Amino acid sequence: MDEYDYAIESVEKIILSMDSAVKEMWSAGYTGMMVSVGRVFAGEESKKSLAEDIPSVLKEISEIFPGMEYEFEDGKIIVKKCIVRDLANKGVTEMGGPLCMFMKGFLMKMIETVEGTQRKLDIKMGELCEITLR
Amino acid sequence: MDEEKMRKMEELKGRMAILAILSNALELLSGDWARTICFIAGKKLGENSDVENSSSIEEAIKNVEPWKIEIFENKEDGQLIVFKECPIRQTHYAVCTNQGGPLCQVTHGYFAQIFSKAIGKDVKIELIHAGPNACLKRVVVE
Repeated sequence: MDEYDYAIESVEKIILSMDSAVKEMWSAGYTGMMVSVGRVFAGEESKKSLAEDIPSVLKEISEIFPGMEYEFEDGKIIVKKCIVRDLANKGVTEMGGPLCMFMKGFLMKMIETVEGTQRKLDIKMGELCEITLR
Repeated sequence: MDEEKMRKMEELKGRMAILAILSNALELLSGDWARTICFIAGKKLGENSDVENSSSIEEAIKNVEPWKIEIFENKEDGQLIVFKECPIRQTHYAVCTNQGGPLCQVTHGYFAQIFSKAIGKDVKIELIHAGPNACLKRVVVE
């Protein structure tokens, strides 16, 4: 284990304790709250956005959050790489937990801004999460 | 820098961004309460850490990696401690969040827990100075 691995592990431990503090504080209510927080943050980011369509907005999100990679095909968004999923696989957080909900809110707002209309996201979680827009 | 190190650095930065998201989200949702929640998160981290039991603060500060701290001065109103290396400060500089904000309370909570476990009394950590290369904090035993 080199110094980078050690640093990553240390930060993950802090994320784990912060994540559980959020869940303890708001119990199940964190779901809606974190979606809202994601939307607020995306509202700020979208002011700087130059994206004109969904693929370009997905590219921008990957630049904002290193470790995220999306693919848009047949009206569906495939989450090819996801930092939250990586953390969930390590037991640091959980799929559908606070961080997942934050990312959902962020993505939703960014897409709404580029499309100029309200959208809802249906997420099918798995090894590669699949997001359907409606 | 080789490709593997670059990948790990990106991975680390991604995790730090996640930490900043959680802290900012807490601040947005609960205002000043974010500091308390971060403090509690730090205490939990201290509780769950595998730091060996020690009998004094001097002993306890030897085993707190990844933090690197040392005693600067013993004063009547508490010990002054220099935080030379701190993952939270590195997060602040990597993802541009404010030093001294709620996230710093994770460090305070962590050390309050570690120190109180070591000496068996309640401990409070106060920030005296936050700098880019080190922070000075006071440990007050209550």
